[in-house]
Amino acid sequence: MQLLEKIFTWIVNFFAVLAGLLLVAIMLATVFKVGLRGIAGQGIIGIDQLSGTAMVYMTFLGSVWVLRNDSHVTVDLVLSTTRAAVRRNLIVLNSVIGAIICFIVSYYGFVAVQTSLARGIMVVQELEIPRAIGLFPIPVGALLLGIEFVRRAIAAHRGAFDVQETIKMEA
Amino acid sequence: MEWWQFLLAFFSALGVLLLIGLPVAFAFLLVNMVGVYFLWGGTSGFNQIIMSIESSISTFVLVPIPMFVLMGAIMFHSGIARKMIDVLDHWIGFVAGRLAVLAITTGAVLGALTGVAMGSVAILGSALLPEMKERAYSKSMSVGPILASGSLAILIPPSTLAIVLASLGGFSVAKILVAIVVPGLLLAMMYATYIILRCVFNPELAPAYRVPQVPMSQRLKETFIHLVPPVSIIVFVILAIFYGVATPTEAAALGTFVTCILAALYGYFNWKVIRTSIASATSLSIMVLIILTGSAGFSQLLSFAGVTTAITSFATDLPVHPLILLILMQLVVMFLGMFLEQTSIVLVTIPIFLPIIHALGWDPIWFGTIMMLNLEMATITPPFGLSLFVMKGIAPPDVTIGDIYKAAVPFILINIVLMALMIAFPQIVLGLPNMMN
Repeated sequence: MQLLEKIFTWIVNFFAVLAGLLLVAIMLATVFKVGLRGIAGQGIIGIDQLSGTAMVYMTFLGSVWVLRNDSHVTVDLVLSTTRAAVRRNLIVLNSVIGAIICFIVSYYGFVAVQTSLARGIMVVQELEIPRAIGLFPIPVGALLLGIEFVRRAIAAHRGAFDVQETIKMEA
Repeated sequence: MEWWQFLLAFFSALGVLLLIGLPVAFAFLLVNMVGVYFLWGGTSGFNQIIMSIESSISTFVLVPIPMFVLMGAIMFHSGIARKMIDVLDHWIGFVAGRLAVLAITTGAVLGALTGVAMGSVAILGSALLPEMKERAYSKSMSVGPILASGSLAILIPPSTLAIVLASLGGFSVAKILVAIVVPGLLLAMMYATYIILRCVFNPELAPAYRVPQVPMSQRLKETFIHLVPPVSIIVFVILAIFYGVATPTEAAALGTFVTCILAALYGYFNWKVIRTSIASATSLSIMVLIILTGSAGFSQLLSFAGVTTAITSFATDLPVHPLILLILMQLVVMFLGMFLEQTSIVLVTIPIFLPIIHALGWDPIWFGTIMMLNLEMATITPPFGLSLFVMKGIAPPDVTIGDIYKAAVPFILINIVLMALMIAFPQIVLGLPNMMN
């Protein structure tokens, strides 16, 4: 079990790093395009389209890491004012609901990828790329999110969220 | 099912899911799925949901969001922002209500860097509240300006919320980024004027104290080294968008890249700064983008259920002046702002408001900017404005939530005055965008 936990943590961290690298890659690619346009009078076709696709990868692959850090936007009006026992049960409840949603999205996501591949659906913009490439991170990310929600429910049930967290600062 | 029953069911379910603490993005996803299940008759529509998730965020229109967030994170974590604040601190000198004015000017700078209201409140509150208390500032003159300064973040470009709004509304990102410049600066000036006037007429609110005199030569040197370069980057980004030299995505990416170079020139760009900046920017970008994954699905559901058409007809057929409609719409935003964070409010309201805006012939940039001011105000509006709770968390124990509510009121009134001005004189908002190519 501990080995599985370690492997999952490694996957979460790996995808978080990948999401960060994608962010930097989007920035550098756009700068390169603008630079080339300024120097050669012509940029590179497809950077905008690929940046859009990279955002889907960044969002879905990095989302599980954001969930692990408890950084997804929530309305904690009730959670922050209830007793520890109620709070614990609410976190278990919302985590179970979150897991169910994510597993459903993951299943239908894989179906959508498979259908898209089988039908050979292409996205025709600046570049012509298979739709499945853009869809692929959705079921993968949703599957990881579903697993993380289950972990969260178990952790909450064991009392891991009983102590109120301090306010987080965002940069 | 009638359109209003659908709408009621949708919002009730969303409300319950949010109140039990389910993250906003997943709450949207679930109500979308349930809506599709009933409207499409089974799970056949789930494939469409997956497609809409992808199409919601795979657009390059949204790329400036992570770029601007990264730019701000680098400025913040490298210490460039801290130096900028120090320079401003030296210039402010002996102004009445010095620390309160510093909170506003710093809030404007942090707003340009972070674009997150609560982040600014937390940072400024932790940094300035202890000193304000030590200098015997009244609660209203310490808590109020910090709350107000945090709320500036949304209206000072580059603002991620403006990009979200334009993307969901289908109007120009460039124009709305330029449109918020004047209202944002005007609001900062109105806040500062109010603070100075109140402290001049009632010095007990913020007793004057001796500030170490910094020689003019040093102030000028600091300004040219630590203030002009980073401010120039922000101005460059806005001007590039204004003159159409670069798209918002390109301007944002270039701004981020130049910020990295600047941090390196200052000698601040080390591995720790790079890692922390990328991590915080990635986290914040994902937080926003994941909420937006529900946007296309939600709009499609509203259209399919007939809500969009019905609510537009309902609103335009009402025997009231359009101004009343505008005020009603803003009241809805204000009400939602007491419970929800801004991206979610935009996601819920824009698909409903936009057809009405078009039907009434209003400029969406004008409406969007007024809405942003309102969203900004909502973060400090009692009883549930999110920044109020952040403030309660960092304020000394003797500051009650009642004190915080009272301190916020004058700044809420200033926001309302500016909103009225923007409605009465649309050129405040549209002047700059209309001059764009």
